[in-house]
Amino acid sequence: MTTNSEPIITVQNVSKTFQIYGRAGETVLSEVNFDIRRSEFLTLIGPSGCGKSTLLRLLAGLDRKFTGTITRSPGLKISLVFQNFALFSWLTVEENIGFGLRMNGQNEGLIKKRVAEEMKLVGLEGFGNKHPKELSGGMKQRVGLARAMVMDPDVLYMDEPFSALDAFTAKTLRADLLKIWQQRRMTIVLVTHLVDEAVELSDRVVVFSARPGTVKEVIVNDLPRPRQLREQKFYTLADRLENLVVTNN
Amino acid sequence: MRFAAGLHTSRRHHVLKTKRLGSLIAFVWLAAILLILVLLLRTSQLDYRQFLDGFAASLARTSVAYVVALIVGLILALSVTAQPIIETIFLPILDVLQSFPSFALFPVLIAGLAGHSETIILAVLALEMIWPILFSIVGAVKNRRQELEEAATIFGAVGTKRLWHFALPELWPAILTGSIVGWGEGWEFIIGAELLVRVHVGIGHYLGVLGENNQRNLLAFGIVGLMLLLFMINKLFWLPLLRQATAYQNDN
Repeated sequence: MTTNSEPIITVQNVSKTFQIYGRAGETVLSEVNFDIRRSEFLTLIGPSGCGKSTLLRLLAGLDRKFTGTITRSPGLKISLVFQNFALFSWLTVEENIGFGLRMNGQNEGLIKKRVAEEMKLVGLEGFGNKHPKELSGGMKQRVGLARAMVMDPDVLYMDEPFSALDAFTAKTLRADLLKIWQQRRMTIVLVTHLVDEAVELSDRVVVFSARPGTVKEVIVNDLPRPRQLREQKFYTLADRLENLVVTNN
Repeated sequence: MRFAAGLHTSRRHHVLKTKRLGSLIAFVWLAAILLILVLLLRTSQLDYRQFLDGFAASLARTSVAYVVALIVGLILALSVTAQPIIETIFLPILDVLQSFPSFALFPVLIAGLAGHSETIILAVLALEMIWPILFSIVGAVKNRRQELEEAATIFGAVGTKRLWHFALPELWPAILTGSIVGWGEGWEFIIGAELLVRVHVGIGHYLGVLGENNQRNLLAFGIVGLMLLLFMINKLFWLPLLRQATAYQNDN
């Protein structure tokens, strides 16, 4: 259903070259083209160093130095979950989650209410007064997710959000993320280098070539949800993706 | 569940007990130092009014110079690191300037600002204290994590809100570290500065008079007294601030 919905972001001929002392350095992305559709779960996958995270930052508007165009539907609200959590160490869990609302000038009553809702959603109840240092990796990423979700985003960007976690925690968080996505139906753009993660989560997978990254293929993943990770169809799609990623090298 | 709750309670009790013990030890330390100080002032024939008046005057000078150094150092550090091109040009200049000996400015300032001894001391003292603060902040800015910057941007921290809610709290441990070093250098400096400029009240002036009068025992008592007072300022003011600032650091 989501794979047929309207594009809300279009990426056209996007290239990115890092400048070194004002001179053109290495090109990390070259002529990238694809679109992102409303309410879909889209994964960007490719070999290490192919520019996936760089592209995510271009999409999120954190880096505006590139060639080509990124067209966004007007009024799109975006949010981002970081690979290494990027929590503010001096703030408590509650303050971290409410940071964006506070910066946007929301009143304290609303902030408190929204923070409590998101903490419940991601299973952080009772941890509100803790500081990030006092939390496990999985709990930190739950805070990162709640901080992003509290902004009620239309598009949630996620930069390898499970890669800093152990396998069991990552599996639990993936399941929770899917539940949240199915409840809220925001668009998710996830960067990963793990083929199984892409097959488990996404509606479409954009496969990138090795540096300079360019779109090799966009694969529609129409396996029924909830996905059965030990089914033949799952393995077949995972193998196909893996071959694409590996041959890109 | 009950087991977990029991563990949680016992851990909390342990933390509270450790905190109470820490506070008690700190209190005993301070009480002991205070006692030594009082005994020293009472028994040594040191004119404790002059000594304490001198210390208060020097403390006021050091505090004013510190506030000036902190504000100027912070503004300079944030300005210099705002853009790579500005940093490339100005950072080496500041690096050269910091190696310039502040005492060398005294003849120039005394000639130019004759009769304004307080201004001369404050200006040179602030100049001496500014460098550790400035370079500590510059180092922290250069080493800060890009992801944190990006998180602040994504969640809408701009302008003064960014400064108050992100930049300053993030840099707070570095500001404190630089401040502690700057404060220490300031106290080293002010003794000499008060002697050179010949002010009438100040701990440097008072110790200088004792030295000139060859009152060696009293001079030794005065120096020990000064050390104890500075130790108490560190223990009561700077160290708690530093402990609080670094308590939640390095989380992720």
